[in-house]
Amino acid sequence: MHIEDEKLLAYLDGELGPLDSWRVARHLRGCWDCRCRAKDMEGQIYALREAVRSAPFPADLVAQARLRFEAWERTSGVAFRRPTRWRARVAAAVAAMALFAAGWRLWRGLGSAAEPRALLAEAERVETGEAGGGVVLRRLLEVEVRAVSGSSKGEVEVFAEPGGRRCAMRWRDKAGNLRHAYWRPDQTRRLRYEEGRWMRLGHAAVVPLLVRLGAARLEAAELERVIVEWIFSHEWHPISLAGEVREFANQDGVRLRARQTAEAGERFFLIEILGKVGGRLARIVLVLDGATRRPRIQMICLQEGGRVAEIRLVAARSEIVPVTHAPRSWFVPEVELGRRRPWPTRRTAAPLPEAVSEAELLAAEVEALQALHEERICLREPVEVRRAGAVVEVGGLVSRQEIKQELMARLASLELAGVAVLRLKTVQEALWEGGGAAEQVSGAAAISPIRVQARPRTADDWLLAHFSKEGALPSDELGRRVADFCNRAVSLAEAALSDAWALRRLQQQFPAERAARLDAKSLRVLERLAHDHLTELRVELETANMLWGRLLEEPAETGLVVASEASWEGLSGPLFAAVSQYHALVHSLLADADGPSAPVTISLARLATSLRGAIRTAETFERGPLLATVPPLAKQSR
Amino acid sequence: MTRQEAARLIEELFSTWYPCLFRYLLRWAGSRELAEDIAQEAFVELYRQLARGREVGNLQAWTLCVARRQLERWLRREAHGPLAQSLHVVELAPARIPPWEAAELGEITRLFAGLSRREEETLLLRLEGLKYREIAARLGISANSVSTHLVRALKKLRVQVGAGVEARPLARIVPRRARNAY
Repeated sequence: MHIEDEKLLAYLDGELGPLDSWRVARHLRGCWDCRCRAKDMEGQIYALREAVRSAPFPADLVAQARLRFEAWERTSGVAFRRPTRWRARVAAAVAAMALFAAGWRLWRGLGSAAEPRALLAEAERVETGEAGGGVVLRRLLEVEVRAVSGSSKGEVEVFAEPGGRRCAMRWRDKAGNLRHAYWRPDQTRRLRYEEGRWMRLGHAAVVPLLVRLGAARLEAAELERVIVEWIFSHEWHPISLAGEVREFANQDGVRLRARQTAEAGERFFLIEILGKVGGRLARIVLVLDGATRRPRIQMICLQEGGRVAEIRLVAARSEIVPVTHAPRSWFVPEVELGRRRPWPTRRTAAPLPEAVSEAELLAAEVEALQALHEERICLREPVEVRRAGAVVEVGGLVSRQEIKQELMARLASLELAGVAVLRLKTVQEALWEGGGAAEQVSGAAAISPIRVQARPRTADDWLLAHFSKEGALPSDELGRRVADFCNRAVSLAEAALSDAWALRRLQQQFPAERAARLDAKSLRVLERLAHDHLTELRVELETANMLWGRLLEEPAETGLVVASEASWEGLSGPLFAAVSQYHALVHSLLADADGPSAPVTISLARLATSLRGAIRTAETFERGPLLATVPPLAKQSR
Repeated sequence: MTRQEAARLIEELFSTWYPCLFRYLLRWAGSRELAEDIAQEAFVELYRQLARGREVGNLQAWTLCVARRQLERWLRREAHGPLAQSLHVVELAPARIPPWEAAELGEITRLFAGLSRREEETLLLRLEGLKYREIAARLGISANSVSTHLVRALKKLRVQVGAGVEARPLARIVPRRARNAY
């Protein structure tokens, strides 16, 4: 069931509610067709926008209109108004009320919150004069904020406690008022400023970004490095390689657009990263120097509705001044008049019960696995369920905050019962954390580097020859068919591999003798999980078989790799081996720029053997001992 | 807002937005003089509002909507006399642009010629970065119709633009899966 155009467009424009957009995102992850359509739409809108903006227009028409307008302006005598009398009255009334409120507060003796300005003055005095405790970092970032209604330059000062646990910052707004905000890197939403109003767009989203950089003690050059490493540590699926703009997307729906441009005889790459940050469209533009290949941040831009705020790091430098003493008041979170709320205290883990029985632990393990399964995390996120001493530990990395929250909520009951410990992190958190960050980054960068190659493959000619046998077709139709075939075959192989892999992990975690110790309910759940994966796997393999059907010869019966014994261990191993061989062959044939190592015909014969061997093994598996009790046709919706 | 600030905004708007607005007006007004007049009116109105200290969120969208109302009023008066001004009975038809002007105004004019008025307005406002419900409020339609109009406009444009804009992807690179991260 595909998504209709209206919904897809609304999704791309960020107009859907959270549930709907989650659904669409989930569908898009698995459906190449819809991704293509989405890309088409985006490309079209992008092209239209560029076309409308850059369309040639006779300059004299604009000049005439401008002259005409100026002539009108000179004679019209429009007066720019000062605040009117009623406004002054309202202002006076507000001031009187504020005075009254302040007096009343004094009289009641409530609240001892210092005035914000006094607070900052105090901070400054301490900072410049006194000597004392730990070392605090003070950073000065020069930024330029550009909005539709004009731009302003300024400096943002950031104070960060050692370790980056608490931060404070201050800056002057357009009217010259001193603003300040308090900030905890782990509590992104609690940001306030002087008057207790929420911060405006330009500040609300960008300044925390800068502060977070401050907290992680990053230089601007470092920031560039981090962004580039972030790019390299994600998988980027190609959306389009045609034309000058190449576009990729990762599984979080962040898009990366690379364009080669030439200006003033100099060539460079423009890399745009587009993603949603809480309903806003965030855009980071990097320029990759053609000669040195060094990235340079050009702009960070946030867009919401018709409003745009851009931040350019004017000076690519930020100053770090060690401050000798950090007064507590810098980091007092609320300076709201009247009342004071304490920071929410950290939730402490419930004490462990004295003894948890082995059966309970096993059941908890299965339950955690089931939760992972139902959130479909078992297929794509590196999260593991393992035994750590007398508790079950669920740990690993997930890609996004929402997934983490969902998972935490699901597993909260286990955690409260004291049988499980949750050590989940998002990738971002892992990157921002102090000591381990460097290893994480380099590890991630080493694992899946982006590979951008766009040479024609060796299999292309062969596929074109095959498809042109079906009758005379125009060349672009032919190319489209080949592309469709490749897309489907590669998607199916990917899906099959992840299912086979999940199945194998289940088996490794619960080998037969361990599974025998499970209670009836947990065993049933485990069977259900395995069965789910197996059913999906079989559907994927059969579909692939049909897709490849005409291209593959029937392999010799003796060549098939069929499992020798019908046991849980004896089956999942060979199944995984067969599927991964099939996956590797599909990859080398259709997706690898270097092409298969063997000639195409030999690769095809191998492919036929491994694919049909996998199907045969999966059939045996379904009748195997662990799954024998699950009715084969019952299908649980996931 | 001071006079200088307003003048600067208007100046910027002239260089970035005026061509777009003019094309739109020319297509529905049919005569160059009328289009120029109405665009001028819209800019003057904007300047007056700024002078009064009013906050105008999206200048482009604001001027487009003002111009659109002016245009409707003007064309109704032309067709039915002053009495019909307050009645919403006249459906505007696209006016014919003289071919020499169309050629002068470039490819875009021909590109938009197949769109209905609503579709063009929705698309222009969307390209200016408005949210659906803002577009809906400005044009007096529902947010669902906004997406319908947009999709229709895109479909029509696809037929016209053809292969120039459309680009099918080819799976040349498929990155490794996350399993390697274990």
